[in-house]
Amino acid sequence: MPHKHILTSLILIVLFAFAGCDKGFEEVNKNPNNPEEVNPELLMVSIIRGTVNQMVNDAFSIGNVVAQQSAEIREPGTDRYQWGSFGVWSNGYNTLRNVQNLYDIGSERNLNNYKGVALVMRALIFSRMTDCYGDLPYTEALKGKQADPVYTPKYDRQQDIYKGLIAELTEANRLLSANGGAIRSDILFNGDVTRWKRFANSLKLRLLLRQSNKVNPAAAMQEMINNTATYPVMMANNDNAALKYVESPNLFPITGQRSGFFFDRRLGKTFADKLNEFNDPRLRVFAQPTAESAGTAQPKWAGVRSGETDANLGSNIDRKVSALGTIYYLGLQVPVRAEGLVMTVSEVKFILAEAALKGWISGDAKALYEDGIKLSVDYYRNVSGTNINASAGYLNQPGVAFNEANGMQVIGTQRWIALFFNDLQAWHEWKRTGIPNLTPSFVNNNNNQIPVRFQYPDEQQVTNRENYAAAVSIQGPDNINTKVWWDKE
Amino acid sequence: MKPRNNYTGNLCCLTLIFLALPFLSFSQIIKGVVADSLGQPLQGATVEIKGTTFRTSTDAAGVYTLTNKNAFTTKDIIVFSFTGYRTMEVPFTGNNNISVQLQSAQNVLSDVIVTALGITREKRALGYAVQEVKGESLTQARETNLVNSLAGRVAGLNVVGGSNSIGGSSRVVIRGETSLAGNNQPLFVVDGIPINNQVSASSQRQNIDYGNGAGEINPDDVEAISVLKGPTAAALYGSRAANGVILITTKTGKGTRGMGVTVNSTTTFETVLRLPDYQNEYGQGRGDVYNIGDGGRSWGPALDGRELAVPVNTEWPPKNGEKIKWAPYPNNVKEFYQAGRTLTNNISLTGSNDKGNYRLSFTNLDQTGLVPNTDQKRNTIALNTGYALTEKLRLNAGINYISTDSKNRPVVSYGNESVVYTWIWEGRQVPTDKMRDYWVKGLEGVQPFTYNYQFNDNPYYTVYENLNGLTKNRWVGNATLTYEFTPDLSLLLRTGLDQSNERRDSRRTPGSNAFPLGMYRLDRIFFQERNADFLLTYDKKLKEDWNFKVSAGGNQMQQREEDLSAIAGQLSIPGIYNLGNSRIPLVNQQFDSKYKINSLYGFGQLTYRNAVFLDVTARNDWSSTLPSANNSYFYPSASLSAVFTDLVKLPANSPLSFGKIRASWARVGNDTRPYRLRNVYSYATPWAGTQTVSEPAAIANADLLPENIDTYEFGTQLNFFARRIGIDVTFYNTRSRNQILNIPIDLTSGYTSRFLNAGEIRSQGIEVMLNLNPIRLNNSFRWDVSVNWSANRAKVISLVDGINTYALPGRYVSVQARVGERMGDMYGRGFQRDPQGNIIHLNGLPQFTEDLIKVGNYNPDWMAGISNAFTYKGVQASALLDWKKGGEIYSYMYVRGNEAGQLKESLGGRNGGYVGVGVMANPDGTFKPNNVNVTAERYWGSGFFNPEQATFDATYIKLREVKIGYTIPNKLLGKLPVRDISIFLVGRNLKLWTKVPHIDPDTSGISGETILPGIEDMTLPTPRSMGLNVNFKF
Repeated sequence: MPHKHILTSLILIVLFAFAGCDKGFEEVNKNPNNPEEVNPELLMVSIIRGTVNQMVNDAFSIGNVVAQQSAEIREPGTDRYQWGSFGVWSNGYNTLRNVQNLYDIGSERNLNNYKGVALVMRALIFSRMTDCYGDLPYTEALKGKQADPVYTPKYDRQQDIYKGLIAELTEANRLLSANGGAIRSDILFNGDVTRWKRFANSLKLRLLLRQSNKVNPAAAMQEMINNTATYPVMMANNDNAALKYVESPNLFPITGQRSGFFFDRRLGKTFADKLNEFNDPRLRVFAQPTAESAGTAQPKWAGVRSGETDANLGSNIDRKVSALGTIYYLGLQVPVRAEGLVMTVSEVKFILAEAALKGWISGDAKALYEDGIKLSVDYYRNVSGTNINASAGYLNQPGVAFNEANGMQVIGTQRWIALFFNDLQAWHEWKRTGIPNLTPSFVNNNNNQIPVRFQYPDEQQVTNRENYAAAVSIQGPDNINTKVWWDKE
Repeated sequence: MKPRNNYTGNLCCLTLIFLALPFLSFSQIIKGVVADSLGQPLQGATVEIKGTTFRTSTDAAGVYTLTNKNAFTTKDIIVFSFTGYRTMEVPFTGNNNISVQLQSAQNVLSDVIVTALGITREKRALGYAVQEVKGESLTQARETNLVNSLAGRVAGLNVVGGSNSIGGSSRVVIRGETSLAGNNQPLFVVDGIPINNQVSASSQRQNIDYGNGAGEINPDDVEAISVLKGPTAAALYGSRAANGVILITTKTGKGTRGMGVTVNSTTTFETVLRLPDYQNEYGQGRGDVYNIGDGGRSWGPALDGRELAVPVNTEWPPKNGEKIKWAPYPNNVKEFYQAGRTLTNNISLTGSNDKGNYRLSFTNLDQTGLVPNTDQKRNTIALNTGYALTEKLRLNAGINYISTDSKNRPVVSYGNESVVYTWIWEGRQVPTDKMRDYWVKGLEGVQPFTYNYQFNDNPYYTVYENLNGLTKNRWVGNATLTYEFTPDLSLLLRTGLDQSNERRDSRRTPGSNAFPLGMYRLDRIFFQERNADFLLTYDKKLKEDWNFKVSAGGNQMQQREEDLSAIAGQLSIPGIYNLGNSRIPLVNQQFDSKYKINSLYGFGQLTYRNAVFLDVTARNDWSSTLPSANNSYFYPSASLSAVFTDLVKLPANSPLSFGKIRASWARVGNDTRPYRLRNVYSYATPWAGTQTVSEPAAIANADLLPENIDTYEFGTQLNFFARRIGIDVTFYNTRSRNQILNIPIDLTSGYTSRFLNAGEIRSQGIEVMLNLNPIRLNNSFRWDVSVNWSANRAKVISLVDGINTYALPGRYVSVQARVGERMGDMYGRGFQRDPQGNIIHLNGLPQFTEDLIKVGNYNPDWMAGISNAFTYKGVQASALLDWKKGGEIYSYMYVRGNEAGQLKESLGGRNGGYVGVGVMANPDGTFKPNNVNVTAERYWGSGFFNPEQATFDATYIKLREVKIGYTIPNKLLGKLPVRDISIFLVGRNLKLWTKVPHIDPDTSGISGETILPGIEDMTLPTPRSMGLNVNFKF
């Protein structure tokens, strides 16, 4: 009967199919979607964009707010110091994973410039994190995939992290060279090795200054300043580490938010009062006239008090205080002129001015200080497309004019202004110098203290509990009032 | 009907074999006819002498001839049985002609049950717990998601309501959670073929629930559902059955004579079961000052009827000066939801003759949701055929085509496209009517009107303009050939297919807060699973009391998945939803995967006097997802049961009428998902044409081992007083080891997790089923009570050395498995408390812990389902209560609703401030009662980071189902062609009793393709459904 043949052949087919029970399985389980190995340049955008976007978002929602350059009118959680851990930590370590890959691929393929870029980004990200949290895993960090893996890295003291980062930046400066290979997909410096070197050394200056209450920076700074050929630093706004955004979805990150989030952060009263006092040309770039005064003969810029009361926030305050500038927001997904600030030449000038003032390096503190102001105003002129200038009148007015006695005060104040929207740098500098003199938010949940630290992420209590506990016992309670090492008297 | 000529030869062969058997002595013969209740002969019915091996079956005329080597005595009992009919026992009284009519099993308590591989077995023979749900209980009071119909009906089966979205998904877990990494859901099998039950929510910016695979199975085509609770069936279905199997048998045409037509029609209307308790005394604003232009909180002035201009808005024209009465609209949310409507119409044709049978069914489901402009249409065509190609070769084939269509499905989690969100941030003074006409005059198609332009879209605009459409076509089919080499030896060959093509269109018109320039996203999802099986069975009677059956088989499973998505983030021309219309570069994603398992398995049964049953199974799998050195794994099982009342002579007056004990043990191996062995880079959004990648945070592991799960269970089933009382108790214990976990590692290592084998979970529990028949009157009145009760405790025995905590998917709360603790524990910050347990305040505000504390557990302490059914002549009435005791739920509605000043609680302290109940610290560290007064706005706004305050005892009782029906006696219908008309008034989810404020605790959050139990995330209201079901036949 024919169906018997059909049956026999069916059985044979089935048995044959099972003959090699795992035949070809490795081919079946080969991921068709993603590469196992990549060229180093494929990591560049992720690393740079991931870091800079986070810096912009943090500047907007934390840095500007705690430094009282802006203040919240709708959800005053940051102003009322209802702080937690924030995203600096998770963004940092997640990006560092790709940085580590960039470094490793650079090492395997002998591409020194990618290694150098990796070290600069590593130092930038680690310094961002340690300035916010203090002690954190550094020497044992990022070893999850190594042959001898570390899954629960111990915390390092901040002084050791700083020592390491400064050494890494020195090494980055050595690696970065004209014959270190091309740097492709470089959205920050367009493959310009010299600009990477300038950034590396400028960042090193920032770190030397930041720890200067604890470690005298004189020798290290002098070595750099006296060998500018070996250690070039930022000299002009062209050298700035500032990310120019392109088209959607690669726009200035704040434009990814609904308008309500942008209009929640208004010009801060502390900042507005100081800029109004100086008649600072940057004010009209930083902020818009109040809704009440816009379009009138006398547009006014006014700020909202940090930690304003609910009653005052309710009283149509949105019409009475300035929104932040139109270079930052024109609507959701609408391109704007603002850049993602990582570090600018004006900060470098203020660092050198302070170093000269304190005698760590030789130099004209006043000239450096005024350069810092002019470069900052120039920068905002270019970015905003307005015609603002740092006039002689501006520079010579009380509160701005430099003399030996008020040197620290005016440098600190101008640095505070120049660091607007630049990561959390204005807050860190306030912590280090106490300039400007800030009064805690009017209504706050932190016993009238301005926070000086972020809490460690909750997950640290879960995934790295013992090292976390050890770190807390050394550094002090894991709260927002424990000072980090360089901030302690 | 007489056998056709071409079969005569085969019959001759059979007869020859028959005659050749030496031990037959033809000393006595019983003859007769087996028919159904209408007198139609049944072919293939089994007739045997109880306790012996003497057995025969009926021919096409229903005629049988039973022979016994010894003379029949009055001790002999003749047993008549036929699949789908109730088994009948007739004592031999000396009459040699015994004809019987068998009752259809659909109308009586069934004694047979469909088990793994579609094998019908007597319940008494099973060594493990199985529970059955009949098809008609799914089609009278119906759920459009089949899974929801199981709630409250099966002991140990936990159905958790999902998002309440139209067409949304449900989570079902049998016997608690044993897996840390898996979804813990059982395997769904339709007619022997595993089907896909993936939750296919979207991973979009805001979650949309596109349903779970098993929810699409059409209840009208379901004959019965068997719930195989333990992993004993895993030897037959593979690893995926480790969490139990839900076995769906579809209807066939078997047993119908000629052509039968059945019509089933249900119309129900859905209303909102529960809405949050909103306050109605204060309008939007803050600090008691009116302000709705900025922010959406309701801390404004009292709604006392004064006149105010709206909207005050600085960012967008028109500056409308229209005045409204500053008064509450207590029903503004209620008015927004509309009555849903569900129409289900099914028509089926059935027929059979001596050679074959068929059933063709068409079902149309047409549903509109509570949320305006949301819908679901589902058409199902099902064809089932069986045909005897020859006397020995039989073909069964079935195909289901399911086409699902939604013009729009709602957003189901917190976010500005969720209407539940909108009604938190739109105040109590907002009139629903004013929102209906949602375009700004003169700016139609460009600017929707709303009360809060910076954050909220008009909810009508959201649901009418920003659509989340779905079209899905699915084919589920199988074909089975069985060949009987000899009466003892048969071969089964089967192939099965589950294939679906899904298209999702997300459209955003310009003008929404989230997409001012519009957006279009297209997702295409292809899924295919193919199974091929062979099974050789040898069934042998050994001696008089012994029966022996052994089977060996193999299975090849192949899965393919292809996902494609493209997003046009902004549109050049509004209203054109085409990827070519993107203003900006498209963001594309593609994921393809393949997966294969080959298996060989065998199982055997040894039966003694049809009262003691020993079953053993063994299976070996080879999985493509494991490294080649470890990709083969073996797992056995054994079960033993004894109907002791058949082995021991009971006293005549014994209340015990039936008693059985059972025990089983099983091990299951398990593999993992594809592509977990090697690290790869994933693509990130390009930068103006510059491509970039990023390494995922999970470390792959090239040395993974298979997982394994061990289970044992004991149980007993006892019936008393002629089945007036029936009780069934099961205890089980499951240990899962070597789980393939994506163990979290500290992010500072550069990675957040790594794959490895680790961990042990022990899950144990008790299931009790109680059936009572308190009243059974001669006038046919009958009252039946059925109660099921179960409790489960799943505990984490170990994780990995050095790791005591494993984080599971969660939101707002952290769901953690901690060594020594229960599965399902939820952690978060809580209140700081003094030694007496009072909440510590500072400056009037409650203080929160720095550590994460346990705030609850989402698994219930126990569950019960209580069903009462009354029948009297043609009248039937029944009610099903579903009771879950204990467990906790976190309510995001409570958190944000009170922060927003919208819910009842937030009225506390509006006038003159709120003094929190608790203590404050003295300078010396002791505590005194808190006496600091803060504004209600500050007090209620401070709870955001404190999950403890928003976690509630989730205990609830739900009136799941009520049915009242009447079946018109056919004699009343006279000569009308219509028969068996039944009409039911039906209701589902009619009433809820719970102490949880504002929400129905029978809900869960959703995140991408993961259901998040224990978390209410602005879930849509539960629909309460009421309607009419009509069923009749031609």
